[in-house]
Order: sequence, then structure tokens, then C-alpha cells
Amino acid sequence: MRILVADDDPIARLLLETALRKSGYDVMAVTTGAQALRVLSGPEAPTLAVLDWMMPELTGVEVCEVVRAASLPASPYLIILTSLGATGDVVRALEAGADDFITKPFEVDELRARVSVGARIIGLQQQLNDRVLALEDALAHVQQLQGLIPICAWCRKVRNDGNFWEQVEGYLAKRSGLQFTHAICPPCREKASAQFKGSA
Amino acid sequence: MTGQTDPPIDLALALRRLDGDMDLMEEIFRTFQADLPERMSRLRAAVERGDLPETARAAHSLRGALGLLGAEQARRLAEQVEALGAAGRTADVASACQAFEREVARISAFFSSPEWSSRMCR
Repeated sequence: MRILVADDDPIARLLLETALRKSGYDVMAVTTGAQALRVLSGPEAPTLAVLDWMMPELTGVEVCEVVRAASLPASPYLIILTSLGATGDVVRALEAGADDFITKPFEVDELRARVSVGARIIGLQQQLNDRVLALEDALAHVQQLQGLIPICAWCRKVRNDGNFWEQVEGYLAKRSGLQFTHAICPPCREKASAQFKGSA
Repeated sequence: MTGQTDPPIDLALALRRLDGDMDLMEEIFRTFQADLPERMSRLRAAVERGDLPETARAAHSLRGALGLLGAEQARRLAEQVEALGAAGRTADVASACQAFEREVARISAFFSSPEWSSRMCR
């Protein structure tokens, strides 16, 4: 899993990068809020970000606000680093769209624990998204097949949405993914055989 | 309460914060040592110019790093400088900054001590 770390303090950045890399994450680090926003809005953006509150150009909280307002296709899990004893900051960060916060100075095991909670939530969200897509796909098929289908009483062709008559197997294959094999049933075989003999 | 005779850096606390990762601790301390003169210059220059927002920002940055390193006394003093800067209390910032400078000098001396050298040359 890719993680973005944004902190202008080299000590905190080194600590975050090293600790998370040792936990097996693919970490990229930036030093300003504007850089963090570019990465989060770009292609293949990390799914989780740890953002320091106080950064040049844009604060971590401002990055949260812009990311949430942008309604990105894959909304990242955002963790804000706040200062000790600033309860108001925590409320402000959560209201701005942060999912969690870590108070500085933090301990590495707390950082890992909070990041792993984020990773778990991202995994659950992904599973949910996959399930919704599968359901939407199934629903689309159901909608395509529902209703009255005009069928020729003589040749058994059906009239499609474009008002053309087509073979029933082609019609169903396009809408349901069904595949047909062709055979001759016994009554038709007898009829065909009788016709063949009669014409011979 | 931390006094002047206590070591300026609580190595046990720093190591606990880093989940016992000695290599990471040494790397972080090396980075901090290399970075400290520039950070202090930035703070001093801001105080001398009477630039209180920049004073608060510089002190904030130092406070975060000092907290991670287990330099609790220095962290508290940096916090005072930051708070006074943010509150616009020009007269008090200079004296708070002097107290902070004294504590930072203790940290620099600690880094030059045989105890620290032997630890870093393991």
C-alpha cells in the first residue's frame, strides 16, 4: 500500500518515512502542503496520507478541506499530526475531513497502529466498492431483460430496441452474456426428415 | 520536574518513542545535529528582527523535533517561545528565547560528550 508523508520538519519526516517503510509500506515524502495536494490529486495517488498540521504553502488541514471538496474518485484516508494539548485542533482537523489524528510527539508503535487501522478501513471500503459495482452490473442486466419482448409467432425472431428483428439467441446473448449451442430436437428432426424424404 | 543537572535528552524516552529502534534513533539524532545550527539561526534572526510570526513558526518547528528526541525541557522552552510569539508579546520573547538558547547549548554539549560519542561510535 502506498502512503504519502507530508512534513516540513526533517526529523519528523525521517521518522515517519523510516518507521512506515520498515512496516512494509511504499512511502513517498513531501515537505509542503501544496506538494501533498498535487500528489493526492494526481494519477495513482496514495490511498493514505499522514499530514503535518503546520506546513508551508498549505496546512495539513487545508489539504484535507481541498481533497474532500474535490470528491476524488478514490477518497484517501487522511491522518493529521497535531500538537500536544491542542484539543481544539483535533476537532478542527476532523471537521475539515481528516479521518484520524496523531499527537506530536508520538510513539512509533502508535503511528503504526493508527496507520494499520486506516489500511483496514481502506480495504473494507475497496471491498464495498467492488460489491456495489458487481451489484450495479447485475442490476443493469436485469433491467435489460425485463418487460415485454415482441416475438414473431412464426419464425421466433424478437424485435430489439432498434426496431429490428433478430434471432432470439443473439438478442439474449447481447443482454445477458448467455451462450447457445445449436442442436435439433427430436420432433424437429422427425419433421425435417419427413420433409427431406417427401422432397426426394 | 527536570532540572539543570539532568541530561538534556532522555535517551530512554527517545528510544521508547522509536519502538526500540536504535539505528533509527541514531539517524534521527545525526540529522538533528546537522540541522540544529541552521534552525537556531532562523529563530535568532526572527527574534532580532522582531518578526513574531516567524519566531513562532521557527520555535514550533524546533518544538516538534525536540519532542520526538526526548528533549523535554528544551521542548517546553520552545513551546513558551512559540506561545509568546503567537501572542505578540515582543518583550517576553527575547528572554524566553535566551532561556531556550541555554538549554539548546546543553544539548549541543551533550552531543560533544564522551558518553554520546561512544554511543554513536558503537
